Amino acid sequence: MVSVKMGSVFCDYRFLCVSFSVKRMLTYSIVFAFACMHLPFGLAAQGNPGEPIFTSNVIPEKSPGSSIEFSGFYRFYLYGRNQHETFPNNSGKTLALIAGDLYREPMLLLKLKGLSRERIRFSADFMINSIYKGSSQATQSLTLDLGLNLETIFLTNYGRFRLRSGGVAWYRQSRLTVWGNRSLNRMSLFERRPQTAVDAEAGQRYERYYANGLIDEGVRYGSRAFQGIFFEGKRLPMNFSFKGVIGKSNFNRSAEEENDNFTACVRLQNELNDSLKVSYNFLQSFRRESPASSDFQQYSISTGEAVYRSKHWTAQLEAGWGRFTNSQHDLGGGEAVLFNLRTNKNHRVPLTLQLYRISPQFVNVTGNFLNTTVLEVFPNVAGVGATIRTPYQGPMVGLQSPVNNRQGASLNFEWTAGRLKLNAGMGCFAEIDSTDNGLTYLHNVNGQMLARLYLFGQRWGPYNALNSNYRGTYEEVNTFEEDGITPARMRKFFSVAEVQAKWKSAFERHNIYVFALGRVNTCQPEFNPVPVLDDEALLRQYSSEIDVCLEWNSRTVLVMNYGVERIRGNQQTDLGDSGDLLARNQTSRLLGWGMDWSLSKRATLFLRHAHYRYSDPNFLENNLSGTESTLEIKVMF
Amino acid sequence: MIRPKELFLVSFCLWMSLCTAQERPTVWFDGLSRSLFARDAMGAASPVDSVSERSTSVGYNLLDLNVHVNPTSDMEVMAQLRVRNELGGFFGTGTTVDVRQLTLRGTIDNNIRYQVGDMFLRQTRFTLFNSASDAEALSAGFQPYREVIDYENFYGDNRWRLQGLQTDFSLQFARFIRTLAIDAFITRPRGSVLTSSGTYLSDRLLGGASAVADITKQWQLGLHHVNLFEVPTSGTLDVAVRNPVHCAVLRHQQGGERWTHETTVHAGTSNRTWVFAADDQNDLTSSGAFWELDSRHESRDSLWNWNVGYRYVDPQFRSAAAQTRRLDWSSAMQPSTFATYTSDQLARRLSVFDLLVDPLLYNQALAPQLMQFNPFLSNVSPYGDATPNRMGVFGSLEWGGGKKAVNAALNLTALSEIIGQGTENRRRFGRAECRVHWAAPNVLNIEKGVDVTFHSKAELTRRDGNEFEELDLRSIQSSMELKAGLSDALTIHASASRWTASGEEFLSIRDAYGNLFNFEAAQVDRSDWIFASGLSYEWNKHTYASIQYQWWGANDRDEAIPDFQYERLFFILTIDL
Repeated sequence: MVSVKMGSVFCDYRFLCVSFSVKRMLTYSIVFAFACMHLPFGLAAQGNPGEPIFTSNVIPEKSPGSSIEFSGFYRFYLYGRNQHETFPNNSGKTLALIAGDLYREPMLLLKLKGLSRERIRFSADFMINSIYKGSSQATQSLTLDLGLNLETIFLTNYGRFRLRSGGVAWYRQSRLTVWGNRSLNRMSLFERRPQTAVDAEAGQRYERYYANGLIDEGVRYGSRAFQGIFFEGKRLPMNFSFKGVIGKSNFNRSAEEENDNFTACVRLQNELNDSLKVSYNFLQSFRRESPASSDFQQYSISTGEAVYRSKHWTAQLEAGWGRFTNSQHDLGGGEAVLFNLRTNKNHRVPLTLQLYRISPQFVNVTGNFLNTTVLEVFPNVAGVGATIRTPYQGPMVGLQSPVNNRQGASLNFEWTAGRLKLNAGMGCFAEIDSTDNGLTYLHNVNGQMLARLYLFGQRWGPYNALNSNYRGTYEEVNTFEEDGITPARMRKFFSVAEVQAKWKSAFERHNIYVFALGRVNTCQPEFNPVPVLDDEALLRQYSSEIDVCLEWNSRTVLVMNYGVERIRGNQQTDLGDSGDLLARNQTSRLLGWGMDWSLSKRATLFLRHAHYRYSDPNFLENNLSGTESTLEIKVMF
Repeated sequence: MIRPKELFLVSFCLWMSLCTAQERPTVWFDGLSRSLFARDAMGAASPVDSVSERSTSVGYNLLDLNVHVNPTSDMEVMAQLRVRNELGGFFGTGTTVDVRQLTLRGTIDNNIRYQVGDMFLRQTRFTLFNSASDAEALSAGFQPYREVIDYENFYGDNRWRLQGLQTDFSLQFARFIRTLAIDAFITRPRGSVLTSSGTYLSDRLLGGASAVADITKQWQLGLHHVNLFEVPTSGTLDVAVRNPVHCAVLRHQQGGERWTHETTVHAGTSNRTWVFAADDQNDLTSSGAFWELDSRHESRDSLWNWNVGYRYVDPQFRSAAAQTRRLDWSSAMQPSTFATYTSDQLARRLSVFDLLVDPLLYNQALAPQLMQFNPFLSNVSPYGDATPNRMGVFGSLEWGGGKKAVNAALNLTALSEIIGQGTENRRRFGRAECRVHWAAPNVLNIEKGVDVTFHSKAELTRRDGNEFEELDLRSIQSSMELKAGLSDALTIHASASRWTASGEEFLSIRDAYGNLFNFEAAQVDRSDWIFASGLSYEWNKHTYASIQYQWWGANDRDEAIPDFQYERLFFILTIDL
């Protein structure tokens, strides 16, 4: 009773307290009102200029404002996977129905672009996703796809200067310093990338690929993500130009965000004449692994580059010196040379020749080559490290994908005979120093399917050999001496052959495109200029993919894909668990079909359905099969 | 966690852009965008330290996009959407999207102005006013930092950022008085909050009203009232505060052939009461008054400007909205870079560099109690002109008026306490502040001229008495900046700032209700210093890029407090959209 009474008293007091304040304010108002009522008055207009009238607030001023526009796309993506055969450690869930891309991709990308009164450009790209899992779960998210960017240009008598700030921005400098993965565009078109634009007519994508092999993969293709301050000068006196960035790279991150890490690079170029350009490239990357003073790693690279363009061919030579150091080791310096010779496209048989040598000490994770010698150079950041770790052990890669601690040559050619367009190439490469590294190979068929099973997983699968990165999977293979136990320390030699045929025809007035791609990739302990197709090779990888695209009408294209990949190891590699102690004998198959249907000039519906199988009779638990289906509607605006 | 409101706002932006594309002039944008990167490193003269971080790099990019929607010509909705991306956060990590302001404003029949939502209010220096912070005199050359701090904390024009309703209108009269402006607002500086102890703090409201009458062209009379109060029923505490303040302002302006004169009298009272719910607990009330006479004189050609005045503020005068400080030294303020130093991991004391560069140290919330201040930085008027327990004279003299190559200003203040604190002897305060700006054309053959700015503030505090009562505290803040124009927009600049303080003071220790109950003796003999140099490119006052290298540190004569020295590479690009 007492507490109730006290509470009621307190409520009364509270009421009095509020009413007191209100009363006081009311009293003043009444006094003013009373005073005013006895005088003749009129309300003054508030927008009129003249003597300032008292206000406690800010008088708003309408500024001219900036011009802003929005663009972007909406991408509705439904994904279904039904596993018939699973890995043994599968949880029992065999059916996955997912709305939204499995990777970090926008469903609604809203690109804001603005121009300030001082003609400074600013941009941001909002990424808005919803996983459509019902109201019981937090399904909405709003964030930035890449980041914020500010950009301005100064036009002076001494040149044109550009200053950019922010990020993520895509930056490219030279192949040995900053350059994104960019190879020969030999791929299957069955799988779509989120960045791929929508064409006005569904068949245009296939026509472009047939005609010149170029597919628009978005702005990031061939460049690296940076944040920081970007600067560029063009049309400088004496034909000089420069560009550079000081900031942070996604590939150079500390375990703790605030630990000091930065990457700085600069390029100074001079155009000696219409045919010859020379440039100097520099890159310095520094990372402190922990706040404590002594734990750091850094590498620096200096290269010189010359590009000569004649009427018929183009030659590009880049050579430089790099040095890697961390708090435990000083790897010393090492050289790198990369030479590309390319005849012009209008040549009867266009050729591309590449020669390279990149020493083990030449380490870089932002260049156009893979690092295989320093594991620590990859960021040891949870979640991030796995997303960007490239194949580390001796990777078996395609043509025009250089690797450090390796040297070699490759030759590619193109040839056209009527409707048939053929391009093919061969290459052979050798490690410079012997290592006890194993091997890795990228799955050409079913690589994306495996990556979707376990996003960015490291050493997963029943034999802990699979590694997933962005839309790809590579597998690690251990190599042994003849005793089958001791890890083999040897120089490894690699041979690659690739051939692609493109054919276009018409069937009952319907365009039909056929793209066939075959690749052979082998690794052996002895040098051989051509792929070794017997058990002398440590590992053999064969893959064939064929895409058939039927343009039903200008709005509809039917697509079909078949791919098969075989991996064969010899007895110096891992042996299986089938009881016969035999090496890898993997087979991957993919059979898929689908449809591209233009809903309008800016909207297309993509349907895909595929059966996959991944098996190895010698590694019994490597046995997967199932289907994947996707429905994608992409609308550009 | 992204709120649906933000999602809505982005959709809103999209919709608005479509509206714009259809040439409906109902939507327009402005705002601000900024890139800021800083790399800090331990200096060569820092003490031996094998534990602390040797260097850090931080930064961010942000876009504050103001979306203005005019549904009708006399109404505007403004939403400020902040997108921030931390340097080093790639692909969504370190990205935040937030609503920073949301406001509706307009006029009714072009006569009555109203605003709802976020607003920036100021009344008089004794009722509602956001006084400058402690280290203003050191900020020459640090204008980019100062702008960041003011912008991030909504410190424009000595106003407090508040959220609520506000309206004003004015009346024109045919006789007796010319105009009467009426202004009223009700805001909520703090909403009800669940504390860690499980109790709910009450809603804290700030209401106010003003009536300002231009009686004749010469005479103006204003009556102002504010009241900071808590609504007990919105919380579960058994105490609530009320702090009404009344202020009358009488102003007389007179123009002559060579001079204009303005004399202003401020006078008012305050009452602060802690009201307890329990019957057996008496309310705590403190009441006080103040008055100020200020006579200002300006030559017709604006070359000369001087004033002299007298101010008296009662020891018990309490005005929360005018006495709240930007820097609350009673809170656990920590430097955001190098918070600890030496191998013993000593907590590093805040230096003036931290005060000049770190916006997170600053306060945006009105408080009913007097906040703690740092007497070594500001002891004469730590709560602005409304500082209680002060009386004395002040004056200033300015020359140049922005028209001459040399502009100079001198401010002098001589105050004393009204009653002594802890003793019958009273403190005496003196402050001299000097600012000189010299815009020298064609110096050293520099085509665009050289600007030299010097700013210095000296404070002196003394109290006589026995060895326990005697006080002698001196502090000097000085800064100098040299700017040379390389082109119309490009300047190279260098600056040096130094703060020294020596002497002793007693820090006031107050209870939860702001009552003084003890003192803590403090001594200081320290100097902080900053050197900076860099390049700036300025499109206009609010759009510029600047890159600077700064060296800063502190030296303390107390050997138990090791000196420190750090360096910073700093880049900022600010764009007024």
